[in-house]
Amino acid sequence: MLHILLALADEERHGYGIMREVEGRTRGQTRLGPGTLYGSIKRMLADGLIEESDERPDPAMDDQRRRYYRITDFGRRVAGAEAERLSCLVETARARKLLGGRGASAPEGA
Amino acid sequence: MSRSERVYRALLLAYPKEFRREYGPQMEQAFGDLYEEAREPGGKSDIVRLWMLTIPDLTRTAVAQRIMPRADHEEVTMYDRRLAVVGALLLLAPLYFVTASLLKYGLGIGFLFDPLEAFLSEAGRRVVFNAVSPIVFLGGLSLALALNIYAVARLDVSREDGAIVSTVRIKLGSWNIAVAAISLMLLATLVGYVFLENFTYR
Repeated sequence: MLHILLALADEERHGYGIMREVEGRTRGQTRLGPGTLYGSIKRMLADGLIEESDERPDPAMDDQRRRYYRITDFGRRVAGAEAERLSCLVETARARKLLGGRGASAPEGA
Repeated sequence: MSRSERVYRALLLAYPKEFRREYGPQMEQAFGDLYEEAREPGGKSDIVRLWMLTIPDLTRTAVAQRIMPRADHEEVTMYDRRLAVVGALLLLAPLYFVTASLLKYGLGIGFLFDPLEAFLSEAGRRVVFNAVSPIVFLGGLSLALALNIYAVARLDVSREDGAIVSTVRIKLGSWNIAVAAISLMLLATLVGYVFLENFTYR
């Protein structure tokens, strides 16, 4: 879910655009299948995290079947809170020298 | 359309009809894009890789879509049925009383009212009945009516962008409608009777 929110944080995208963005940003480590993507989209629409957009920002790949999605203000706040939580976890892992090399000099318990 | 795309379209039948209607065309489109992408650089090996991603994805999410909404729906339906049962139990006593009274004083048939009258022939029992019956009858019927109107028309209140938004969801459950209608008729009969008995000029 956070992957999809991050993919929509800077621009509106259609399903395939979200897949490509997630795969590109994670260097191929996360690949969303259509079922996972649209199952998540259905839930996120119901929760008000994203909404459908009437605009067609990608005319080059336009098709009547394509629907574009954008993040809502609520979705932005949820993504921010989740990123903050992950950031705290990373900080803790870094402080305990679990992140090989990077930030290993940080004082323990910081 | 390629053979892979045709197979994928057929496999979409694994999803529930509502999900397929809402997202099927988009999923086909997304699969078609992935297929085009896989077809270009690596040939068949990339198409095999695409199917290796697609089949577990489709299996897992089709099962999830079939189980999860049904679980939610069944939970709500079970809850509404319970409300209908509780409502039906609450209206048993007033239904008996009103039916017995109407048969006795309307048609002269006393097989329901006479046992009650015999039971209430003792003064002590009559005092208790006169004190308790309005609460039990009117309270029970009002509660049955309220519970089953709630099952038919749920009111949700939420806050969106600083404004209070209320949403009414209508669900035409036949048992809930029947219990609500019977409760309303009995309430009207009892209240009408009480009004005529106490406020008409003699």
